[in-house]
Amino acid sequence: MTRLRDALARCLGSILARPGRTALTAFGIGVGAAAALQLLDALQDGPGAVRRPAPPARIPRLMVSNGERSSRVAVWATTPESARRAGIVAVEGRPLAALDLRDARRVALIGAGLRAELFGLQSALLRPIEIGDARFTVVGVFEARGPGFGGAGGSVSELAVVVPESSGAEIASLVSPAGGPGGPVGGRRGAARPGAAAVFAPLAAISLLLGGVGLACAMLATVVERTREIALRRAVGATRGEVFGECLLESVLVGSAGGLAGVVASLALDPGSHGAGAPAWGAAAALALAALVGAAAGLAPAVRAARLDPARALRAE
Amino acid sequence: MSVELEGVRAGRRLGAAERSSGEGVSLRIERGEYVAILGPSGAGKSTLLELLGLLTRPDAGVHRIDGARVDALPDAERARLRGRRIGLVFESSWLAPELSLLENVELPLVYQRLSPAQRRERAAGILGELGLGAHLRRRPGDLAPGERRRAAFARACVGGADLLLADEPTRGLDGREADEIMDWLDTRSALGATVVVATRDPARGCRARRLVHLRNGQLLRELPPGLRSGSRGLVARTPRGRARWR
Repeated sequence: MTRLRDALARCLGSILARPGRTALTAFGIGVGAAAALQLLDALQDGPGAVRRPAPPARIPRLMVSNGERSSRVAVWATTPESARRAGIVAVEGRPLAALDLRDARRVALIGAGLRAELFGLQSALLRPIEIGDARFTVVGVFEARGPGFGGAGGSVSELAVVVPESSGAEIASLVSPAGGPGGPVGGRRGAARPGAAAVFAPLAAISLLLGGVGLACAMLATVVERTREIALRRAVGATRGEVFGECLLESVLVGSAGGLAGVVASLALDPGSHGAGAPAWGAAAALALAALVGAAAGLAPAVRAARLDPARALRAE
Repeated sequence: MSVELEGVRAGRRLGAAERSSGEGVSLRIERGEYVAILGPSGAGKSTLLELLGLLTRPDAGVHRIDGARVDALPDAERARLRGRRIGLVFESSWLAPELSLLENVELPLVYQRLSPAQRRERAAGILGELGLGAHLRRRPGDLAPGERRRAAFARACVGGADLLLADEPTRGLDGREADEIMDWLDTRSALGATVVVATRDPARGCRARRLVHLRNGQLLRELPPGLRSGSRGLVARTPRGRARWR
């Protein structure tokens, strides 16, 4: 334990002795880690992955009408799983179903408040409503009993409509070109996720690769600069293995620090994409990737440090 | 610690084949001996010290410490031996500039895996003995050359080395500073450590009880202490025949 603590203290000392270089190097890895985190998120949200349902796309307030009365309310395009977790409970009719999503059925759940506003005392079930210009059928009435969708503005009022994510995209395409009644459609992240994977995969790979190359160069420079100090350590009893380990540890530390910064920045700048329960495993995986890149980048410099001939280094002026 | 070299060759200089019939350097140093290696610049003194300090592996020959061969030991064991039993003082003192004096002297103890408290106590103790107790937190750059040299000796001795190797220990120091260093070597020798000093200036600061001459990577005849070169110069036998020692 003492050994590890000493090695850590020494590595930190070496890192902090060159703050500029460390920060620049870590930045490269950080960008890579942030891109990797986005990629992991995108992969999870992709069509094949059902581990974490997409956060709902909130289409800005749209005009909803049943032909007699109308109201401007929030429309949530989401998945059955997301809706269930958000606490959207069908009190009449049925909740969203997987088939609604698969077939992009034009079905909607309306909030209990909206039901009273549009239909009064009549039943709303199976009645048609217009959302923007698109015609939907009411299949259920919900009460909001849960935490909502998370993130800023994620709470669901009962003056709202919930539709399958796939058909929500249709509304958006109907209303967005003309800037129709709902105005411009923004923040439709859910539907955009599969495309995000294609963007972030090469970005993550390239930035991690370049970050790793940068780190390797920086570590090599550090080893060359510290030639005499390393030789001194060897002269007072450090083995090749110890020198190798300390150098590798330093590289892993810089990589992890960059990764941590990247993950934190990614979560801070873009909290919505990670839902209410931020995917801890995604962040951990991105961090582990950064540490791995650090280890890979540190390998060659560590070998060089370990192979250094202490006698020659101590004699050179 | 007793040390034995048998037909050792190392590097370009020491026991170099093109300068001799290739028999290398043979030298035996008994436990507790105080030996000075004399010779002009380029004679291989530093290489010999690096060899004795296990920093360099011999290219040929046998190196024994306390009767056990060390030339073929794996690196980790040589490093451990070097850290625990051998203290090295290099020509330019070689303290790490970004570490405080205390941290520099603690360095060998780090690799002996002592706890921080033990390290601090021992390093501060030996620095105190060498009159540097007031400078524990200062960087080597802030010190006088003599103080740096003393700190280097503190680092060499802090691990309990019983073989002390010093390359030009008094070079660049004034008379008083040099005397302090030589007194310290006397003390370590009196305490039972084997001491080997390399210097090109036999007249000054060498209080060794045994003198070994090295020239062109070859050992020349040893002289008893006190007998210095006269007007005729030293005459010694080399494998090629007779050579003059100026």
